[in-house]
Amino acid sequence: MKQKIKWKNMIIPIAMPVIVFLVFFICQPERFGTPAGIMIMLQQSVINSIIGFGLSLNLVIDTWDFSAGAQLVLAGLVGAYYSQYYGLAGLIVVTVLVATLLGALTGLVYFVFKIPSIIVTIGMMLVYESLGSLYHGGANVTIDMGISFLGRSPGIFIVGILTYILAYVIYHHTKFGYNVRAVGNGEATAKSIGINSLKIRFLCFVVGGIFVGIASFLQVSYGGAIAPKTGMNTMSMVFPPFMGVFIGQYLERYCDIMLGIFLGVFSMTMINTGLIAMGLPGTLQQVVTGCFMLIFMAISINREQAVLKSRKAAA
Amino acid sequence: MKKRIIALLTSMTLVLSTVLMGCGSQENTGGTTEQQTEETSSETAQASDKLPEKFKIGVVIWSTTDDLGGASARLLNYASDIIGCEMVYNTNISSPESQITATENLIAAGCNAIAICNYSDDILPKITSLCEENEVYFTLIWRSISDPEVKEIVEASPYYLGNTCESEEETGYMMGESFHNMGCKNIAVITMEKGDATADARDAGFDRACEEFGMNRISEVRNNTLTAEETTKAVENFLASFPEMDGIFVTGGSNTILEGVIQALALHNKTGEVKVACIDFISDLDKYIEEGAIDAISGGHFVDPLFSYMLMVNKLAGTPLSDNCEQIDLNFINLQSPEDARNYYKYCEGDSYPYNEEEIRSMVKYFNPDMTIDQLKEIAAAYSIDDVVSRHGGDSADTTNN
Repeated sequence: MKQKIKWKNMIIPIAMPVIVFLVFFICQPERFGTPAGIMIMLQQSVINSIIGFGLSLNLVIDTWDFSAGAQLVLAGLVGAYYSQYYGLAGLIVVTVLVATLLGALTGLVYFVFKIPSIIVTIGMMLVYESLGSLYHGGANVTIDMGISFLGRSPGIFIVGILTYILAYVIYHHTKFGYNVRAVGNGEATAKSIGINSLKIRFLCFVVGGIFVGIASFLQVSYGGAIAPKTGMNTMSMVFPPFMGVFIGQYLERYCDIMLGIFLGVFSMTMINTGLIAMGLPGTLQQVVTGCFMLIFMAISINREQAVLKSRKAAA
Repeated sequence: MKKRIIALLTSMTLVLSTVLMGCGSQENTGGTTEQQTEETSSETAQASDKLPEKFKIGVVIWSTTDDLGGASARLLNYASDIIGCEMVYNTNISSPESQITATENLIAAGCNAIAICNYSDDILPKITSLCEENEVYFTLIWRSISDPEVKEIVEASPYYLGNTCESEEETGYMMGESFHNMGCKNIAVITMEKGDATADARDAGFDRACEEFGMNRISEVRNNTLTAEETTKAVENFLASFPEMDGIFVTGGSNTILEGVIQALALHNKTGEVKVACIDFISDLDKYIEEGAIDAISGGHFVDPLFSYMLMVNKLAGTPLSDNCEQIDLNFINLQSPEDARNYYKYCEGDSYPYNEEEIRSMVKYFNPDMTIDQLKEIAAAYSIDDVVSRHGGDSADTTNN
């Protein structure tokens, strides 16, 4: 019995990326799945996974953070600007610091005003977007190619692995992580055992900001430049990580949630790359990606309900 | 404890705001991001140098902070400062529908005339009726009307003064031709979502060149809000899936899109091997052309709104250049060498403005009674680096862009 559970825990988490890979590999064996291509897809999954690690803390306790993309852009703009004076250290320190402060500010607004997280974070997103367009006259900031090595292999993988370890430790081996899970499992119960759920929600924004900061300096290094975004355009930046978190939450019963997030993001990246390899027109690429997301959510939610129904029937 | 945390965070926020504001003053684009008024007054100017009334001119534009939008806003502010107008920009647009709202807001803000960079033709009938109801003149910038029915409706309006546009399709074709001349066969395209009139026209021209010269459009990415990082990803995906790719066509390279392409090719040591052609200029083009990171580029059309602006200003001043709506055609500038790029930055955008105070004033009939619509069209048609250098080569000081 034990052996069966172990196999299930290994097979199910990797089933989705494997299936996605095989679908595209069978359709386009010459264009999809080359070693270089797999390396690129892994590389591209790192940044969204790190954003997902940060967002997952909030999503676990049913708090939505739509401001993460705007935080990332604003922190990236400030960090990229300071990298012109302080090099890589300026980029990393300033980016992480600014993103953490912005996370704290969002958390503070949520903490003080006690309004729903969706409203707070959309409001803060608009504020951060505007600040980004005001900062340095709204100009694009390009970083020196010499300090962009963290945006490519092996730098991006080293940062990615270290961040994964950090997320794993925070979630599984700290008091904060236990409290997050306790609030996620039931706020009333958590309160009854003395956990201040509002404080935990505030801290989730702060810790989430650290991960957004790490993703921000990786993004600037990877793209070589960053531009302000306005008109709620930063909101679209959080959807791929959100999707990764949804998949991660589903896979949590089989593996670590953070690993699940990475596998989810990696699967989404493969879909994007695969659709390009198939030569699909740009508009159709978005349709297929949207359909995949809908199908996954429909299956995972309905499956849970079906299991619950069958358990009730059995009882 | 809770109070301490709140106090600490408040302090940190204040520090952050100070840093942001402090650095924000480093570079002044002269434009705005949200609806904001640009007071334009020149203390040194004589009262007779200004128009009889300080007209308020609105502009509906995607941004005044990116390379293209920012340069245009600076030029319009400069012109308004000279002739005595007030500029209002509304960049709060994310869809064709929001452009209608943006126009309504500018009308509500008391604009006498509005220049609109419309996403598509579909919104123009509504904008026409809005402007007619409120007796506000309007023009189009960077756009022409391709839908014949819409064209008929808009051009019938006495409040529509005309448009300034570039030959987008022809430029797309020219980019395709340059790929053919460089020996490219398999080209990937980074473009906007379907429905954007400009990108669609550039696309159509490029497809025509592909058909004519036997080149393949191997793949594409469509996104209106690409970042440098997303563009880098897209190019990496092209490289992974299409090893035969030997060219990338970017239909609109501003907002760090072109930087993302250059970064991706550099990361994979493909600079120079995969040819890059792009429409829209960015900064540091001299460096990129010198390094072989860009092989063909057209742009410099930031002067476009100035000509529509002149149609509006002349009408408002009671000295219209024409009784009909007019189309003013502008050429793109093609940069062939780092020297071209350096001249462009020196004389056209960056260090100087392409038209000095005297030239701006001469475009307004109120100051220059000899000005005609044909002359304005000729000025637009003549726009090129050589044209600007020939006019300002020896005395760029009076057009210095501060």
